[in-house]
Amino acid sequence: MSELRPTPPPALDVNGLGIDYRASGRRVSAVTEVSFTIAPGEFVALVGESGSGKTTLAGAVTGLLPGNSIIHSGTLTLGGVEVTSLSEKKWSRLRGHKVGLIPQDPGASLNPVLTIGAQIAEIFAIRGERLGRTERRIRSIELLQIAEVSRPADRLSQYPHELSGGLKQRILIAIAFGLNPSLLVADEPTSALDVTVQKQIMSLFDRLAHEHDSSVLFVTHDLALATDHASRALVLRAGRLVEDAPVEDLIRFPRTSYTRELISHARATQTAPAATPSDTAPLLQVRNLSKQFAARRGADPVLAVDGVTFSLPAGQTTALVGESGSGKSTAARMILRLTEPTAGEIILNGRDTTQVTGRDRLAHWRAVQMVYQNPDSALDPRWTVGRIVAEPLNAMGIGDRNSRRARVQELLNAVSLPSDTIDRRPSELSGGQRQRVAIARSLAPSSSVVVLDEALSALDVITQERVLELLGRLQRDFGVAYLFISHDLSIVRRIAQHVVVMQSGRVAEQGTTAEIFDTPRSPYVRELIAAIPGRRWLHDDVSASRKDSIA
Amino acid sequence: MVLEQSPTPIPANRRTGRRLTRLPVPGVATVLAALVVVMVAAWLVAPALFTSYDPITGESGDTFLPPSFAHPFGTDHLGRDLLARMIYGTTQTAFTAGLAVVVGLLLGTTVGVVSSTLGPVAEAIGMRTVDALIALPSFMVALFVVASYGAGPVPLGIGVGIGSIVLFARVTRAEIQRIRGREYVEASLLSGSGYWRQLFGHVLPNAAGALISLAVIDFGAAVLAVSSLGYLGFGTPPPTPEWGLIVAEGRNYLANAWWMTTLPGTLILVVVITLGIVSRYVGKATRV
Repeated sequence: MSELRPTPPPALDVNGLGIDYRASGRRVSAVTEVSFTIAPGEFVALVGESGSGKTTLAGAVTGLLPGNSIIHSGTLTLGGVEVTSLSEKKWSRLRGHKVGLIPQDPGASLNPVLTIGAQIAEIFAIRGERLGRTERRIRSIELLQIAEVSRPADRLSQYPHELSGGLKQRILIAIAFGLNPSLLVADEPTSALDVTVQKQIMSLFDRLAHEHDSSVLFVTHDLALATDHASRALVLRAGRLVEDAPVEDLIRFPRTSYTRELISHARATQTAPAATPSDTAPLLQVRNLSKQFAARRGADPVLAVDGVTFSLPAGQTTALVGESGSGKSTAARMILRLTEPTAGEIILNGRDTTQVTGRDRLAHWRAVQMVYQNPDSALDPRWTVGRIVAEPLNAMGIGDRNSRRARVQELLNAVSLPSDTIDRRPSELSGGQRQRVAIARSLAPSSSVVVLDEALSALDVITQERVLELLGRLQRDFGVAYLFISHDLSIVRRIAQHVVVMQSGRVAEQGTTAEIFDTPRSPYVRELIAAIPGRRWLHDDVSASRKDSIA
Repeated sequence: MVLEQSPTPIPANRRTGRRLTRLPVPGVATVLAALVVVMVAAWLVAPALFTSYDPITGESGDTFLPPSFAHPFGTDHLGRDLLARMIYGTTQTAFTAGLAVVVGLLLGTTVGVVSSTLGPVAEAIGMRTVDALIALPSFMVALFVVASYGAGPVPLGIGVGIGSIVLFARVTRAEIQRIRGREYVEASLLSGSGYWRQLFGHVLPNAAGALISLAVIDFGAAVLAVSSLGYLGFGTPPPTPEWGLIVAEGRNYLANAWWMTTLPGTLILVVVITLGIVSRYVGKATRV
C-alpha cells in the first residue's frame, strides 16, 4: 500500500473513525475504528444491516451528522482536505463539488412547493454561474436529458408531486451529477423504488458515474445489488468494518462468518429450487374479484383490482407479486374481508363469504389471519407479548383461562421465542422477535390461511432468513396455507409453490413457481425476473459464463 | 445454511427493563416544580401541619402587618395570617378546579370518542358543537353556568369544566385518529374484538398519556379560572378562604397593603406554572 502512493489523493480517506451518539445522558457507539479509502473513480459499496452504522458513516462523509453525534476519534479526508471537525459554513462550501449525496427517499428530498426547474437552477447558483434565463433553461434541459428524464422541457415547470418516484430519483441524480462532485454518496438510492425501476436507475447511475469519472460510495443493505454495481465492497456490522475487499474476492473468499451468511442468503434467493407444489384441494378461491374506488372530483373511478381469479391450495404457499400500485394489497384486504369487493367471489372451504358483513366476519377471521409488514405498528406497545398473542383467543372466546395460557406458551414455543418473552413488551424485543410475535398471534385461532403482507420486507436479511425458515417449519407442522404478498421476487422464489403476478390490477401471469421463474410467458414477468439484482456474481449460471468470457 | 433456529438474543441491558417505559430523567425545573406540587398537595391533606394560625379568626391587634418572619405573607385587615388563609384555601380551590378537570375530561373525552368512532353523522354533530364552543371564550362559558345556577363551588367547577370540554374533545379526536391508523387496531378487529374491546383495549390506553398530560395542565388553567371567578365573587362566600377570594379581599387595600394581593397572586401564578412543567414531564413519561 505504502509503496504505490497515487499522485492524486484518494477521493475519500477514512482513518480510525469513531462516532458516538448522545442520547438521554448516555453515549451510544455507532461507528468504531473504521478505516478505508476510496480511490478516484472507484465504485465502492458499503453493505450493512439497519443499525450497523452505515447511515452514520454516510452522514459523516457528507458532513450531515445529526447534532447529538460526536466524532471522538480518527480523521476524515475528502480529496486531500481534512474535514473531520469542519464548521457547517465550511462544509457547505465543500458539499456539491467535493461530495454529493443522492438520498434514500426521493419523495422527501425535493421541495414540494418549488418547480423542478427552480430546484435545478440552484445548481448554477451554487456553482457561481450567472446565467440568463434562456441559458439556464437550456442547461437544465441538458442535465435532465443526461439523466434520461422523459420530456425534460415539460418537467421544468412541474412540481415534485406530479412525478413518479423513479422520475424524482432521476432528477435528484441529475442535480447531484450537475455539480460534478469528485465523490458521490448514494444512500440506499433505490430502496423506495420498484425492482424494474431500480434496475433502470442503477444502470443510469452506473453510466453517469463512469462518464463523470466520479468516485462512488454506494450505501445499501442489499449485497446482491452491491455486487452487481460496485468494484469493491465494505461490510459494516455493529459499527465495525468486518470486510473490505474487491467484490469478486468477497464472494469467493469471504473472511468472516457474517459475510458468508450474507452471501449464502443472497445466493439462496438466486438459485433456490422452487418448492414443488402438490395436488391438494383449493382452500380459498378468489373469482373475478374487482374493486373500484370512487372517483375523486374530475377524475375517472380507479379500478384497483380488475377481475382477479386464483386459488390457494391448503397447506401451501401462494405468492401475490406485483409492483407498488398493482392492486395486490387491495386484493389481500378484500380476501380478509376488510375491504368490500365491488364484484367477484371469495370462497373459503367451499362457502361463499363475500356477502358476510359486520360481526359475522368473525367466522372468516377464525380461519384467515394476517401478518403485517411492520411489526412495530402491528403490536400494541402497551401490551405484553402474552396478551398480544392471546388477543384472538380472548376476543373470539376460544378456550378458558388455563387453556389460553397454555396455548400462548405453545405458540411462543412454536415461533422459537424464549418462554420468558410472555411478560415482555414489544419495545423490549428485536424486529425479528416482534415479527415472530405477530406470526404467533396470527396462528392463535388455529387459522388455516395466513396472509403475509410484505411480512419480511421490514427485516434485515439475516433475520429474514430465520423468519423464512420459521414460516416453512410452521407450514409443515400446522399445515397452514400462506398468501404471501411481496414485491420481492427473490424471496417469493424461496417460499412459494404458486405465483400470481399482478400488474395494474390484473393478473399478468400465474402458475407454479417453476413455471413463472423458468419459463415466463409474458414480457412483463420476464422483465421483473431480469430486474432481480445479483446477476453479476451471485447467480451461478451467469457467473460461470462470465468467468468464461473473462478467460 | 448454517443458521440455527434460535432467534436473535436479547441484549443484556434490555433484560433489566421490565417496566412499561423507563422514566425519562427529569430536569432541574421538573424536580423543583414537582416539589412545589407535592407541597401544595400536602396543604390539601393536612393544612394544620404547615401553619399554626387560624384562617378564619384573626388577632385584632395584628391587622395589616407586612411580610415578616412570623407572617411570611403578612396579615390582612382582620389580622389573619395570609399564608394560613392560602394554605387552608387550597382545599376549596383544588376541589373546584379538580371538579372542573373531571367534568372536562369525562365529557370532552366522550365527545371526542363519539364523534370520531360513530360515523360521519356523529362526527359532524360532535365536532361542529365543539367548534361552536371554541367561538365562546371558556371563561365566559363558565360565567354563564355560574350566573344561571348560582354561585358556589359546585356550579363553579362544572362551569369551568364545561369550558374545557373543547380542549379534551379535540385532543381525544386527534389521538384517536392517530391510533386508528395503527395496524394493531386493525389486527385487533381481525382477532375478533368488537367496538368496546378495541376502544378500551387499544385506543383509550394509547390516548391516555396525552389526555393525562392535558388534564394536569388543564388543572393549572382551572385553578386560574376558579380563582378569577372567586375574585369576581362567584365562588365560596367569605369568610371561607379561597385563593381568588383572598386576592379579591386584598383589592380594597392595594394602596396600603400590597402583600394582600401580590403574594397570594404570585403563589397562584407559581402553582399554575409548575403544573405546566409537570404536565410536560407527564406527557414525555407516558409516551411509548
